[in-house]
Amino acid sequence: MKQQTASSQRSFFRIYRQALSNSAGVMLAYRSNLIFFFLFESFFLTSSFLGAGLGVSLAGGSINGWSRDQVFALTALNGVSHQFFVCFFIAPLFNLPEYVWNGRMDYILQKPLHPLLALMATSEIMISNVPNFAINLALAVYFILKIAPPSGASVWLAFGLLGSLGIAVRFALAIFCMAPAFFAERLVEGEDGFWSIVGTGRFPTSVFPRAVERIMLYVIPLSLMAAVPAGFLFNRLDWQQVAMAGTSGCFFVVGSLLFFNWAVRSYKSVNSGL
Amino acid sequence: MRAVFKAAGLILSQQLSVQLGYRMAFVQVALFEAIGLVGTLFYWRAAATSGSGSGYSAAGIVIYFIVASSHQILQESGISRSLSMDIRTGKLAASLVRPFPFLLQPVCQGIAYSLSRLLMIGPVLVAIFVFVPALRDFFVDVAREQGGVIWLSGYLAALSLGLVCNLVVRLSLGLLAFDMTQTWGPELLFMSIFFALSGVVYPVDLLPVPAVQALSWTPFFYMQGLPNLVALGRVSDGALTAYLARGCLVTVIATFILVFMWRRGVRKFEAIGI
Repeated sequence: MKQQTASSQRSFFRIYRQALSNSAGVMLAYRSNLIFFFLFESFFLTSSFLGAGLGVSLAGGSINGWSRDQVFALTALNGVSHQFFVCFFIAPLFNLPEYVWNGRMDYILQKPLHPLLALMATSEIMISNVPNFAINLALAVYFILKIAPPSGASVWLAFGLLGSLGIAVRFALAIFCMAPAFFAERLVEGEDGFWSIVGTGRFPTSVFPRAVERIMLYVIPLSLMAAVPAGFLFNRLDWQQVAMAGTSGCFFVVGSLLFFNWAVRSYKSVNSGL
Repeated sequence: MRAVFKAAGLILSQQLSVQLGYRMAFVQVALFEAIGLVGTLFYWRAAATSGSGSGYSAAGIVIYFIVASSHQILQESGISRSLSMDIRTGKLAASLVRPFPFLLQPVCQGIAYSLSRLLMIGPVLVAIFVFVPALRDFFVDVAREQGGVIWLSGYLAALSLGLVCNLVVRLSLGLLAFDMTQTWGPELLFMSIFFALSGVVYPVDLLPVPAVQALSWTPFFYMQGLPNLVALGRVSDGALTAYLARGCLVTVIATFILVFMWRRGVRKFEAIGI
């Protein structure tokens, strides 16, 4: 069993490395697309910062306890999480409905890997978004250092764990939005649904009414994608809230994986010809 | 001429039945959009509640985003993609032999799209404003301050200008396919600039006055910003006349560019699909 797992892992890394170099080759061949992607993401970043900043200006300099720099740091952290998701996870998950409809999932299921890993190892890695990932990261570092939050290894470690969990929650949300394709061809709006819902994670938790805030923290922990790590770092959330949100996030991620495993069993290998 | 009108009527009725036929897909998208809108509404409501500098009340800011999303729903956004696909696949050749100007087809498609969306969201908007007194009272106050008929006619003029502008710009984007194989790069870029500058992410009049003046020389302002601001009664009569005149000028220039691109493209179009 152990030997089989080790062999699967080796297979995954080998195929993933190949997928990475193929993606890089393809993207570099279409250089104009790279430029368009860069410009596209840069304008989106601009609109995020404009929206966030004008909101704080309207509020008179701080919004429900969050200063302008804290809101900007939150916006940048959300950008980091978003760009990381786009770089490494968007293609396998968003291509899923097409794979199901045209029967290409057969080929995924034949690989000696879990279907999710096989999807990742055979899909494009969006290296086009790496520059914007770096820009968001630089902005996040700049604003965090400017605010100078309490230092200490344990704080930074917890912050890193929360940030990673935030990316996992984003991944889990994408599974919940895309995996229903296994059940019905007409559930075609999963991608739109994901983009509409995912944006709610970029707002400070304190702007929501108490009931909505609790839902966002503990029931469908969308705030974990950016607001919880930032809130923890800037002392806008206490340890108890963070721990509960983190636990809820773990359940959300595990739930999404169980949902995927259940959904994939409904795959009938029927080609609709789409 | 009569044949052209007859063809236009036929295309319009066909498109309407198609759009209304996919009403469940629309409901699904609208539901997702509504979930996404929740975060935005709470963020801006918190901002307006905290400050008072810009004259936006909490109700005013919530209405701004409801109005902005409704306007976005009315604007056909897929027309550029279908037009560029027709050009790329050579399918345009079949449309060119029809006994009426080709551009009549996408124009009717756009009108049908807006009408069908109006039929679908109209009752929802009416219900919102009937059952939420604060929102209804807001509009009653605006109508009282500005004069009901003047305000309503100004709003309808701004909205119509926005819809025409949207159609012209989207068609121009689609026509880029005469010169490039992939138009999704420019489309994505357009979308991100639209988000950054049109007033869909933030109330455009929160920007400094010179920036608003500069934006009023671009189509983006008329596609979202102006209709939103007029609906909220935030544009005085004199300024509205000036904006409408400038908007007409911008639209006419955009239409000239569209016609130029069309004539130039059709001349070199070889109906070779890829």
